[in-house]
Amino acid sequence: MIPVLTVRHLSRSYRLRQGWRRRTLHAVDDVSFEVMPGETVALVGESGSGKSTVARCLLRLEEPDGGRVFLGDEELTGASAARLRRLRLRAQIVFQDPSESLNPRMKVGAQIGEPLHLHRLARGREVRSRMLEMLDLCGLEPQHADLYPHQLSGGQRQRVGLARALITRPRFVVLDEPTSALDVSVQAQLLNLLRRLQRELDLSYLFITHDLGVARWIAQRILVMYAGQIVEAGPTEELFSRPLHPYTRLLLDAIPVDSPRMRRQRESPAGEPYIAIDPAPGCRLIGRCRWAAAECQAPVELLDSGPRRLVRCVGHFSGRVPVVEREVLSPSQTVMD
Amino acid sequence: MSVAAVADVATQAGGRVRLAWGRLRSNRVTLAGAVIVALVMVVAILAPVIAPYPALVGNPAAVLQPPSLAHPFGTDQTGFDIFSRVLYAARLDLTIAVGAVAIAFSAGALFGALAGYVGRLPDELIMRVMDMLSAFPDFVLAMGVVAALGPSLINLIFAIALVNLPIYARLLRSRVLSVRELQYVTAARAIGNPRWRILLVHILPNSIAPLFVQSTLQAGYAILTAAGLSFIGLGIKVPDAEWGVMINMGIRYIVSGQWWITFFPGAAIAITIMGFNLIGDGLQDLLDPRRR
Amino acid sequence: MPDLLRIEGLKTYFEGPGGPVRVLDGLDLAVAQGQILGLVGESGSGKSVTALSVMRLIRPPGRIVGGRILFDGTDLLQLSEVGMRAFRGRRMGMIFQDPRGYLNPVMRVGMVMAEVFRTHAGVGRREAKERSLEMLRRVGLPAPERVLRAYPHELSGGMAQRVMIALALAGEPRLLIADEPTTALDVTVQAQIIRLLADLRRDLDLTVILITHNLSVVAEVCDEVAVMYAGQVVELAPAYQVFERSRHPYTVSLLRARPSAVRSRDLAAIPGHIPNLRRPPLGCRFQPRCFMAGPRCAAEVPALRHLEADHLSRCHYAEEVGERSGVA
Repeated sequence: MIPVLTVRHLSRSYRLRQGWRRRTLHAVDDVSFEVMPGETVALVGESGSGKSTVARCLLRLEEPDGGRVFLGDEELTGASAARLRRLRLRAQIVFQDPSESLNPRMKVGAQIGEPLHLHRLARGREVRSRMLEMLDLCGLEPQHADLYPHQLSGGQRQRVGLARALITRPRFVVLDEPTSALDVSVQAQLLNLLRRLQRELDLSYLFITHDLGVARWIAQRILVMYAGQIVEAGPTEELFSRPLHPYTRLLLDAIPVDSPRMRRQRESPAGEPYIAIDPAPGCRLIGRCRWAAAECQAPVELLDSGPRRLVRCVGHFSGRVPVVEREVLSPSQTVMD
Repeated sequence: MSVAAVADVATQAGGRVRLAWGRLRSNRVTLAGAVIVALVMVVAILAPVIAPYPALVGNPAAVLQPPSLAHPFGTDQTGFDIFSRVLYAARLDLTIAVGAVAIAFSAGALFGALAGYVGRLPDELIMRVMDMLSAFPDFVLAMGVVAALGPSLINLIFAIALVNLPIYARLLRSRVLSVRELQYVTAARAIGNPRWRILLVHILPNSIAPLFVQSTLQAGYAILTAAGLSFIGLGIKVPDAEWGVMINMGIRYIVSGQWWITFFPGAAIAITIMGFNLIGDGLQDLLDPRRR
Repeated sequence: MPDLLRIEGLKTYFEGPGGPVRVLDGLDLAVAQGQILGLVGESGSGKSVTALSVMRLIRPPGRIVGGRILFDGTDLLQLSEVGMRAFRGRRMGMIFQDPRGYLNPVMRVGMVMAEVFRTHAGVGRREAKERSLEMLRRVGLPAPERVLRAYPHELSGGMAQRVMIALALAGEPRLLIADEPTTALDVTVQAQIIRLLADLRRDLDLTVILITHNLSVVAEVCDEVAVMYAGQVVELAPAYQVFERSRHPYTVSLLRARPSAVRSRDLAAIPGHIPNLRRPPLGCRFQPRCFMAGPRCAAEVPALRHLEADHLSRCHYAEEVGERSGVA
């Protein structure tokens, strides 16, 4: 099976000027992964991890400095402007803040139908009928088509963003924190919708989020990013029950509990997220990791550790960092169900 | 969404015109401005009908008369009826204001949009020219242009437009620079919009509102500049009916007590400018779709 | 423990063209000395307006139109503006979601802190600096001298929030109101700030009202929980009870909407959306969206009533919530 998305050695850096010093921020540093048909992969990380830069580079909304991106077997990087526009039909993106990702002066219906106009996929009455069909599929009413974005609620706006992304029937969708601006109950509606659309339209998702609970619910596989690099990758349940990288453990330990019953004594995570400005060659977690040692100052590779598991940690492979099985409560145990 | 809620928003959309009108009415200040400007316009159009005397034919038998029933605003040294001339002058002054603003707006918007959207060399070139234009004091620049091209209505309008051009260009450029970074512009790129369409459909409509607000202020200012230029003999020539010219003609008589020759055209200028400015205050609100 | 803060029937309205928006409409709440109360609700439920009402920081078109806010027996709503100033900062401190937005960008942290100490404690320049350093150390900032010299934009989000906490505690208040203090922060930093609040409560015998939309943050640290819906408290009980034996359908719905609640099946979303606070629904405000709603719910306004000594619920069928929602 050919992956719907293949990313190889993707990099993106920014030049900064701090006073008289020129420095380089390595927002995305040698990131590789793929997404298989029908799969949902979650890219999780804190602010500054580079996860959103990855999203923007994938569709070349921002030009990567290096690396290659393939949609199916066609290469997106290096494609001409005309070919890029055509390729973007097959890969779409939904943004975080639904109130900022819609044009405030265009009616909702016109915005959803716009891709059809642009790519001459339909004209006149057909645009409207396909737009209404998409509206319905995303759980909106036909009346909504004639409203402006500000007349809708946050959840409805995000449905509009989704409808606009899906109207050209892409096979792959990047979801960049699509629910983080929404309330829990609205988030639940949207997550359910995403899962239903995935089944009905045969979609693959790259779901970018800082919320591990959401990632766990929606994704089959998780990539953990820290300071521009993927530090760990693996199937969702394995990663939650047996995290291998110290950062993944830090992250999992920081998630607040689901119920007061589950409160436990634990260490407060040390330090704050690292931003990779002129980083040293070694591991980027060094300042926050309790297992940091001299060997961590050499460059670290992302290596296989068992089937479908990847880890970027020297200490893990030398056996210094112990592997701990985390007690993961099964869904029926966790909360009410 | 419940049926009732859908019906609720549907009425919202249908009643947008009514809503805009309602808000205009609720904003009394803006309404007052609109009424003043509308009145000036009506006066300009109907001047030949409502003016009791012609604008350019004086009555030698009635020179320097104070306001009376026959001449509500009095007469000047050539026996012109001030009231009639104030009405007629609205035509020239509004033409100058609207013409200068329209030219400055369109050219300034074009340059500003190019500079902000294309960036790099075009941006540098356009903005340095704008810097040069605004390096001169406005009035001096306008004076120089009219003096060089020769005094005429067209040249006057052109000169005032040129002075105002950098304001529009800078304003739009800065708006375009910030709007083009917004997420919906990125979203527009993601769905395959070509560059020109992103500018015209997604950036400009969301950037242009402040220029309209600016225009109402500039319209008033254009009248003032035109009056100033005419006053010093550039632009509109004595004895054409224009508020600045009229003040020019009456200036010598202020000391001798014939205040009405200058007072009424001056008041006309003040009231018209005030009208434009009042509109500008409320326009920002009305143009924002989020506040409809 | 006596109640440090007690709110009775608080009404805060916002005037608008279509009549007043009843953002708070009969809010009842109490928090005992030394407790951490979690005030949870979705956007538009009125949590932040509650905080601002307690601080009497509501600005027009908003207005407190009724009710009582008793702080240690004193009704804050009866105080003059001058009298109120003695409470703000000295008896009640407040921190916000976006700490950097609340710090003056052109003032160094040291200047801001010194000013606060000099007004609240009336101490001199040197003393103020000493106390600033001590307070910054207390909120867990590792290099307080450097922080004093920093401008707000040079601080990370977590550091800025610690500075805000230090500022709020400078006047040694007894009550700290934290309005979404961790919402803008990363999850690892959030864990640090939550821990800090718990430590400060223990060391300073502080009472904390923690306002958040995040139920897990509440589960992690709160003793008591008040759940808000459409301008009213619908459930008030010890945290353990709210999470394990909730007696209000809205709370149950919220808990079940969390992605961590179920793994593979669909999430239990709440249908519909929050009511229009200009014309709230008749009877119970949650009734149009409630999975348990019966005829009585639309006809009769439920009162916030005691089910047990420490468990209050605003639901006609509170006793049945457990069985009918499948909650153990």
